[in-house]
Amino acid sequence: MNPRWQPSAPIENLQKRSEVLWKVREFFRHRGICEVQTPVVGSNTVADLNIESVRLANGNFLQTSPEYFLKRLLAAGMPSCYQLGPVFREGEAGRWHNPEFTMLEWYRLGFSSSELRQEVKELVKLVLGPSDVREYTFRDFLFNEFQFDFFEQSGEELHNVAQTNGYGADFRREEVLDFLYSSAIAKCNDSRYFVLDFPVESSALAEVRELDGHQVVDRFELIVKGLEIANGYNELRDPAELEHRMKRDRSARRQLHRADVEMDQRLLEAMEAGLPQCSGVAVGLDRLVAVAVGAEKIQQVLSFAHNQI
Amino acid sequence: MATYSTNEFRPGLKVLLEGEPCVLLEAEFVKPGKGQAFTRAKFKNLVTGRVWERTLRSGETMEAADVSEYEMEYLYNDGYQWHFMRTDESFEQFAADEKVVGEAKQWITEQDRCQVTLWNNAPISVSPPNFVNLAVKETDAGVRGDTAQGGSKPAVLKTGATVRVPLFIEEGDVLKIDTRTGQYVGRSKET
Repeated sequence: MNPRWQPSAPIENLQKRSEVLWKVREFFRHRGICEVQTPVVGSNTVADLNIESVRLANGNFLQTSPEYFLKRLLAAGMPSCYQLGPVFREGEAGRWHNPEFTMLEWYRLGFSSSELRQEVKELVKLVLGPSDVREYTFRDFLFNEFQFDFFEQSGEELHNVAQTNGYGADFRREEVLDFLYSSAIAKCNDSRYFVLDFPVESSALAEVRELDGHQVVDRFELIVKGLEIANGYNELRDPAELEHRMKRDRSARRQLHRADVEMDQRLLEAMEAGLPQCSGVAVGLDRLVAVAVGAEKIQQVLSFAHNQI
Repeated sequence: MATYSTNEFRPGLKVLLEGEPCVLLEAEFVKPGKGQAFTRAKFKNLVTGRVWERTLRSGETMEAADVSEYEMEYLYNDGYQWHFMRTDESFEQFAADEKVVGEAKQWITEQDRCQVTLWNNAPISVSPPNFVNLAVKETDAGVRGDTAQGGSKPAVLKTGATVRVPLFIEEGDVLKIDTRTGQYVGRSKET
């Protein structure tokens, strides 16, 4: 055991991390995308059922992503922009999670989600070097691993597939899909790939679109070496739909006895004023660095992990 | 009954899974960015030794198993059961049947110090000492000229266990055995 004052990461990993930060900033500068800095503390936070925020004694929240502030900037006329900085998620600690982590989030005006995927691919290539990047729809991805078609097959069949893969209890449909998705990632041997067109259950603030007569979310994730590196959307712009989803998340929170989260009225007002068509993506920078240096856990690229602060 | 939440999971924790006492071997926090958090855990069933993998919702709880481990001296076998006594001067005695003693029965002799695992105050498993010294009861006479080739032969020990030994070992020799592998380590200086 190292003495407890020592950093979590080897010094050489922190030096490599610095190189990655330079590369990322050069990438955006070269493309004329503006770096912005929005508050780490906000009076509102995300209502998403699966994200818990750190609440401060004065009632404010540490931000779980700069999404709401960045969208307010975009609605106010800011062109394509990015933020690179710390975000916080209560209770997320493990081999690949730290409650405070570094997020690179950017928005591209006028981009479709597939144009943004192209840009994500180029950024990742710059940091990690070239590699094939396949694209799977969520439906195909699950089908390849479990021969299960979530468009066509029943909830009961879904549970059976989950149980034969080590899933214990009678969970909600969203949870079973999350479980199968995580298991499929663990099984897939491709080193770099996108998963897209997610089930509507995980819509967050992405647009919904039609695929083979079924509704899917225009959202993508980039997986590198079995790790979720990026999560991107074609951004939802309809304020009525935003309000509807926030209400839905709040009532789901109530049902499951989770902390209530009030609606962010300023975000709603910004959307009413008009968010330009855009796509946005968030990259877990620590994980990207971890893959770049060949780390075996996130702590190996953090100066001081949560249990050493 | 005490319970443990998944965020208290640490290797070594003793919990009940499907009503059976298990020890937690490892637990990993897994969470899709936009999804439910899980804990993927491996448990070893303390009765059967089988390893079970389970995925739990994060925050879910499991009932603690009242499992403890004691050093005990093996006293005697009465033909049905093996009797043990705690070495901590409580002199508390426990009897274990053949299913519980399992593999250990071929290694232990009176006064050996074993690790006995109790669940709800009854033995569920017995681990013999890592090394035991046992006399050879039966083995073919050694052919001395063959030792250069390093051959081996079976030998039956006084507890009934059979191990592979070098050719020079004779009946009555006391051998040191590693009970974890069941392998001959050397001739023992102790008797």
